[in-house]
Amino acid sequence: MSSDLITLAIPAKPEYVMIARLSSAAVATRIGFDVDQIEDIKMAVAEAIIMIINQLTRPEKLSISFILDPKVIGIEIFGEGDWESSNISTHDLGQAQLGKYILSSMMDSVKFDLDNGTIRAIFMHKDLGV
Amino acid sequence: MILDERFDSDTKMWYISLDGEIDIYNAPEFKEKLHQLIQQNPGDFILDCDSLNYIDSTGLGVLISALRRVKEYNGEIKIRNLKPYIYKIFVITGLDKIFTIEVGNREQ
Repeated sequence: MSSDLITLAIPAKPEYVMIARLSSAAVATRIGFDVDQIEDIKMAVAEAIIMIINQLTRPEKLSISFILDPKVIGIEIFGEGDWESSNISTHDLGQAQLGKYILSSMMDSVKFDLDNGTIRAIFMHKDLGV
Repeated sequence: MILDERFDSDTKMWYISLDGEIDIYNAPEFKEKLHQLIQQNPGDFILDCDSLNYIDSTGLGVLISALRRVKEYNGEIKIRNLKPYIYKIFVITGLDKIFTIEVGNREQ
């Protein structure tokens, strides 16, 4: 069976993160994840977006792709805009670490597309587990 | 975000009720408000999270920032009535070790 792809494009601004989070819940529900798993996925999507937004000096757009298999959800998040790794404050680095803990705990796999230590994109997946 | 705030001058304790969501969008406002309360009356804080439905890492960052300020005068922040899936976030990030987290009347 082939995968279904749902793509969402939002402005890379804090006020739109909720849209991606709630959309991820709808997609996860379609696959059959339970309430706790859906909370995990929502949280992971938000944290991944926060990480990318915080590394954009001039945020433009976020592309979020949901790849739906019968028992797996894959999520790819790309940011568009200007990147400047030196712009990240110590405070942001600490918060990014919190985000990484949350991501790795909520999803079955998380991969970062790095360029000179800057996160350009995040790929993650979660199995239904049944 | 902050539903209610009350300062008990006898115990020098802030009672804060949180509600809804604390996320990357409203975290700056939440930070400003907490720091304002700390400046207004440097006391201990009890955060009642009974109506809090979501907090992300930016919201957690605000709590850490507030805790640093409160620790400067040897105060503390107690967090009450976390929903299980929010308490899970505190455990995952290790923040359950630096905040005093109470479930009902029982400290964890």
